[in-house]
Amino acid sequence: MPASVIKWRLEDPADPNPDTRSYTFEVNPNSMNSPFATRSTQTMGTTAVDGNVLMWEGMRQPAAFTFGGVILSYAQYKALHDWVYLRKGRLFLWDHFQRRMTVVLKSFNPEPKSKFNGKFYWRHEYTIEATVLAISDALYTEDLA
Amino acid sequence: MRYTPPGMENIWRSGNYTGANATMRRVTIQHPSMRLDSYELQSTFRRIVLDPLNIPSFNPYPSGLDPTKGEAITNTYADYLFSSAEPPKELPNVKSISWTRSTDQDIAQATIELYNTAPLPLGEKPLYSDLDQPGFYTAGRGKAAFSSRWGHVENEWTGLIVPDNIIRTYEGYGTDTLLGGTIGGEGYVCPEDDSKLLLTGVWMIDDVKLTASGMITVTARDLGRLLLDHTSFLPVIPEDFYPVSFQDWSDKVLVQSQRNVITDTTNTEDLSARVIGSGNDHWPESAYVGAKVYGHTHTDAMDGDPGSFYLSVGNASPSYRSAYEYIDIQVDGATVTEVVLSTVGTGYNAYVSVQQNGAWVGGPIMNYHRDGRGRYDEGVPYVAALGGIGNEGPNTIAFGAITNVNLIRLWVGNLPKLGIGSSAFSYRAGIREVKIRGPVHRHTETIVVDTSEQPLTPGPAGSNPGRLQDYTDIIKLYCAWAGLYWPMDGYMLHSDGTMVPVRPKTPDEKVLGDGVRGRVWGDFQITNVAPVVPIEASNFDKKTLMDGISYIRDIIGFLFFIDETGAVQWRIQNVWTIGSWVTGVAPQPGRTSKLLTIDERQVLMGLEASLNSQSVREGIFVANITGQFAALAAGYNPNDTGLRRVGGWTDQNFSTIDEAKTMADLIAVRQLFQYRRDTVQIPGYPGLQIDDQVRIFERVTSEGFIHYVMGISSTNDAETGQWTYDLQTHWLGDNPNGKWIFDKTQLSPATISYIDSLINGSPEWVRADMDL
Repeated sequence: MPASVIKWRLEDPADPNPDTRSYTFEVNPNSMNSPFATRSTQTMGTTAVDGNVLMWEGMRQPAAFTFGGVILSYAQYKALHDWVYLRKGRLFLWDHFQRRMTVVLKSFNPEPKSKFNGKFYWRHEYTIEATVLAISDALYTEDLA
Repeated sequence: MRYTPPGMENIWRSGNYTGANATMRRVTIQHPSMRLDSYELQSTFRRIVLDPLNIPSFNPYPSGLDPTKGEAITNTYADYLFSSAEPPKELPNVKSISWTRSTDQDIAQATIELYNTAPLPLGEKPLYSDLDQPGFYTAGRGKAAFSSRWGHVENEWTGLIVPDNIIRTYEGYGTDTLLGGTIGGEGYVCPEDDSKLLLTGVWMIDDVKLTASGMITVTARDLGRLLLDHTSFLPVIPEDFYPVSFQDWSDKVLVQSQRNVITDTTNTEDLSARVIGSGNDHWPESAYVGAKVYGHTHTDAMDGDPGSFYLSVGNASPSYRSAYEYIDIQVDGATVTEVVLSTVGTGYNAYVSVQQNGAWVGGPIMNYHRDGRGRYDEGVPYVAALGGIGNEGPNTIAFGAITNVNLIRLWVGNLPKLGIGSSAFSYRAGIREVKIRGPVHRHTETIVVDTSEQPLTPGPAGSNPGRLQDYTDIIKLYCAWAGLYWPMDGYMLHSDGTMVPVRPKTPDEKVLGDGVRGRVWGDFQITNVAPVVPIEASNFDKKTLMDGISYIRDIIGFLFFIDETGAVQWRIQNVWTIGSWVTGVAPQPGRTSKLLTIDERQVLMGLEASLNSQSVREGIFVANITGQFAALAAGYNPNDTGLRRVGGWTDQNFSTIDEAKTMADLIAVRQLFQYRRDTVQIPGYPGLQIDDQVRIFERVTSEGFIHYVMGISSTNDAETGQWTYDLQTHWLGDNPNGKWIFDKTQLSPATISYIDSLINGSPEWVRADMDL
């Protein structure tokens, strides 16, 4: 195991201010789907019943990536909201495998939840939709039991 | 057929167009600039300017007697392809390329779709609410006064995707360039150098459609547009060639020359003269001027009417010395040698007295005396006389030339008895007409045009307006004027900035003119035929250059199209013998008997065969229009039902029965071609061209014939990756294994000989192994 949890992080390469350039998630998302693009293929047979199958490959469509988790604080809520809606360009999203995804964040979908143990008034469950334009190899490659 | 990159045909037949073999489409755009090369040439003949309302063909009109000496003329050829100063740029974001070529159309058309946005470089702040840079490729971006509204500034694409610029499309399977890399960046290979791709078209942009949703749709046509957009008029047609017409001046010509013939002649002619008075005595009814004697006046003697005459007063006896009458005739200083008179009655003695500069010219004195009866001047000399005039004339009194004559007095004596008036005074003078004649000197200059047939050392077509030796010369000349001139220093710039020389090995001086340093971009077959009569300017004037080419094409029956490299293809249609042309820039262009096989088990995606008898005639006759002879050929119909359809054509130009028979056979063969037509869908294969032959195998439609490719419609879509060709074909007959695909035995020996002569020809291969 890594020494500590590798936190997800958003980074705006267009922001020169080191104080605001990146945001580290307070709580890592607890769900995500595949960030990889899908190969676009088309098939068609030739006219003969024993004929060839023709297969074409077109442009890969960028992955429609969704991740989500829990929000416990207003600060966390506000940060995610603002990163989705106020940062309009291409961002880097670093996940817990230290893969750097070049993404465009499309929507922030918070769903309010009841307080927990009388605390966490701003508790939400959320998902964020993004388009993944590129993804790097993982920097963390250890394969621990 | 075109040479394809190694392995391309195997990939095409494998059906696996994924991964490294995925379909690819790349596009470049270039701002061309027409270069005009002018040459000072020498015409074989001087061109004669004739009545502009009736302009015939050029008329050889030599300077002097030597028909090999012409005059200086200027010819200007235009190059739209090989001299551009700006390199092409590769267009990113290509969504699709589609194009259509057909032997039935003058010009091919293409449509290219592009996404009109560019990624914002990482690290740059988006402007306003934009994601990335929508409209990045819009031609007007950053140029307008209002561009600052969106913070737009000009970029490298500003002004580039606009009409008339040149687009080149490259298509194939796989690519050498790094996919996902940036254009010009690491791993980049420009389309021109991409060994997996073939150039599939050189296009001139017609129309650019931009949508607010971020798409650009470019429609374009091939370089045939240069021939469609330019007209047979100044300045495309050089002034010395306008209006353009053509004539075969191969061996001998009718030469017209002009010479100035000067003629000096002196002839005795009628002089300008008029009667000013007469010698009528001053009787109450008579006077020198104004006398009327029984209605006759002295002017009657020179009125040109022999029916009227001058009549004198009467004399009692012709022997009286006073019985002489005269008329005075004024002459304006001329030289006089004759007086010609006609009289009423005969027997007169006539005398001519002449005043020179106001004084009587000396001579014998008139025997006139007043003797108490007359009132005239006595003692007047005369210079000539004619006695006893035995007829009414005209009679001539000739004398030596007297110059500067101002007055002639014509006397008559020995007057006859005319029986007019009082019998006591019945002897009168009656003069019908008098002409004063003298020498008239004339100096004439006449332009005489001599026509003779003279041998001619043929010069190149460009060296003399309208001269040609082969119909192909016209096609070349028009293409060179339009913008398809290929200069000896030609080059192409690649989109990575490198310059590749594209130079003809030899200039086409024979056609374009002595000393011209270039030729025409294309593969031209010589027709070995020249017009037997001049082709008049009205066939070309102010029409498009393509109209002119079509006119020749319709005479010859050749095929004209622009190929994938933007080059002209001018040749006999590929229907007479099995095989295809390997065209132009291939390392070894020429004829191949290999046919592309389209097999249902490999690449045949769809086929629709159409059997149609609309063009079928059981018999075809061709006749001379005067009905002197006719020939008949049997039509092709595999389904004999007893129909008796006959088609015919009469034309005055058929001069022998063999010609008519050949024409009838050729019509029958063309009907055969129309009987079976296919529409075929296959994966895209840029080795295939229109005018190729293919062999198709499909079991359901019993298709196994050799087909001629009339048209190709290509669609290559980046999103789906699908790249397909829709082929329009017709079969070439039902005997795919013979020398001719149709049954040769149906043709006459004359037709077979004709076709043999056609298929023995070949285009001039001057572009072999040309690296574009």
